[in-house]
Amino acid sequence: MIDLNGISYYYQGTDESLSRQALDDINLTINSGESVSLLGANGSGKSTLLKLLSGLIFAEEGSYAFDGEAITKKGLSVPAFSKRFHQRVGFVFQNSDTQLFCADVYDEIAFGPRQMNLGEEAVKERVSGIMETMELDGFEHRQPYHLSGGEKRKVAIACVLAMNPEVLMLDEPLNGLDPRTQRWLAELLVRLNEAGKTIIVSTHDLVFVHEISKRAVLFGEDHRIVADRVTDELLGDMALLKEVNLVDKYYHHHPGEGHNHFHDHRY
Amino acid sequence: MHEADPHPFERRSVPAWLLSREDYTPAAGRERFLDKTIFSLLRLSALIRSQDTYGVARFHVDEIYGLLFTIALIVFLSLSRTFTFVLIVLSCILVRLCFIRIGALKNILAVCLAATIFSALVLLPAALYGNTYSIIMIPSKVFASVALVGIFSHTSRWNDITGTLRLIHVPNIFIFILDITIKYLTMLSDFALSMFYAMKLRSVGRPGRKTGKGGGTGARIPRAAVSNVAGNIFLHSRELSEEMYCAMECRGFSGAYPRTAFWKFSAADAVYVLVNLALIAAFFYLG
Repeated sequence: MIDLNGISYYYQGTDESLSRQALDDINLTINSGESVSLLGANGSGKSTLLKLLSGLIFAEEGSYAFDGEAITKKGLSVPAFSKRFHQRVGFVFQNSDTQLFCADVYDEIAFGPRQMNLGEEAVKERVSGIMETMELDGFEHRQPYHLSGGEKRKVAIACVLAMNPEVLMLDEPLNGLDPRTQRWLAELLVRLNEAGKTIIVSTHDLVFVHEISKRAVLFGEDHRIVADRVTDELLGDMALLKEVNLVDKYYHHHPGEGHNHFHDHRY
Repeated sequence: MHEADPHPFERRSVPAWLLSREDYTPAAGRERFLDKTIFSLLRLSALIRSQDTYGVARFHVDEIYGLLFTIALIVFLSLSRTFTFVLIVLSCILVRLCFIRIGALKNILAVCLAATIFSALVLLPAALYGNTYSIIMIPSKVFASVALVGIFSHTSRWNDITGTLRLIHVPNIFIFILDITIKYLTMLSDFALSMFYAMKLRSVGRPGRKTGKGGGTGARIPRAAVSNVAGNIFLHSRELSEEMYCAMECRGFSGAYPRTAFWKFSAADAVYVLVNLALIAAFFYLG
């Protein structure tokens, strides 16, 4: 479904000397229905990759194909193709504040379905269905800006899910969420994946990775993929995780003890 | 505990439509508004970020000399009555531009030309009535003045400029407001950019009629939602300012805003100061 070949990306400055590399020679294939976690230290390129996969930015080198079709700046300038692509690939931003721009929660969730020209009755049905699933009952007339961090995240996810995308990408979805909402989000992603959605999540939280994904892709600080393995296997490779600064002597896990969890040794 | 209190999500159902593949074919139709807005914000963001790193000019002059001599030359240019002095300043500007990288050079020249053409157009009636001197003299002065400001702003970090203001005894509160404005320009432009990205990703069609409350976000073109983006940015900036006020209170802010700035003098500074002193001398000699 998603096929990246030799992708490199640079954030451009006003001239060449100020450019900064964010991705270096990325080769990655993600099949339909997979659940993949992108792991890596801060600044390793995970968020840039998600932006690239959602067609917000385009690589200087390499190619990106979605469902066999090349995703290029020129290709996405064709309105029908671009709109269909954005409907199929949903992206939940790291900062939910930036994703919510409507006057109330109802309009916010209805934005996508209305764009799809569904008709107001169908829109209403879709909005109320997703609000119930996301535990947002009674929030219809609340202003998104005045919601708590967890509620904003739920609304942001609901907005994307209301368009029924085939691929759901989430950038650091646990930021600012309490443990209960984190558990809720993990269960939601597992259920959506079981329903056939492709899930791609960028995160630092290794427990969350273990819960939601079967495959993990590890980014190094040199902006390249250093490992692409089954999640359990990758999380068990302490030396590798240490090398990319994801664990240290205090925060790690003990593989082969019947359960998988990361814990802090300071306490 | 787990049996008695199941997670609330387990009681929630997922709608059937969410578990099936969406059969959606978007209508044809071009909407360039969001792309143009995003492109403008990206340009603004790149411009602000380029301030983070030196490297625009091939040799760097300390901001304090740049600030003082830029102001002085603009004053002397406006007072000057001889075209020879303006030509000398223009020649020096040309030499200075040679040391500026191409990206910055294009920006400076574009602004200079726009200002010069505008001033020439304003003076065109005077030229038609025979005052040809003004239509050459004034646009030349405009070009030189705008170029001086452009060179200074493109070769100096804004943070360093505000720091040097302290050396010329500009009040603390003024420097503080300038510093915060620069910081917030970056943060709010990034915030606005992300909002437009989010809007672009969800603008997957063209609704046939206005369905949003008050014709707002359900409007045919997402242009109407821009007012909501502006409102959100305003709310966000207010929240940021309140948080910053609280943080400053907690850190014992008493109104003083010390910025450290030191006099420095390098070889590039020496050349720059000598050339500018010569230009000022030329003004007094030529008039």
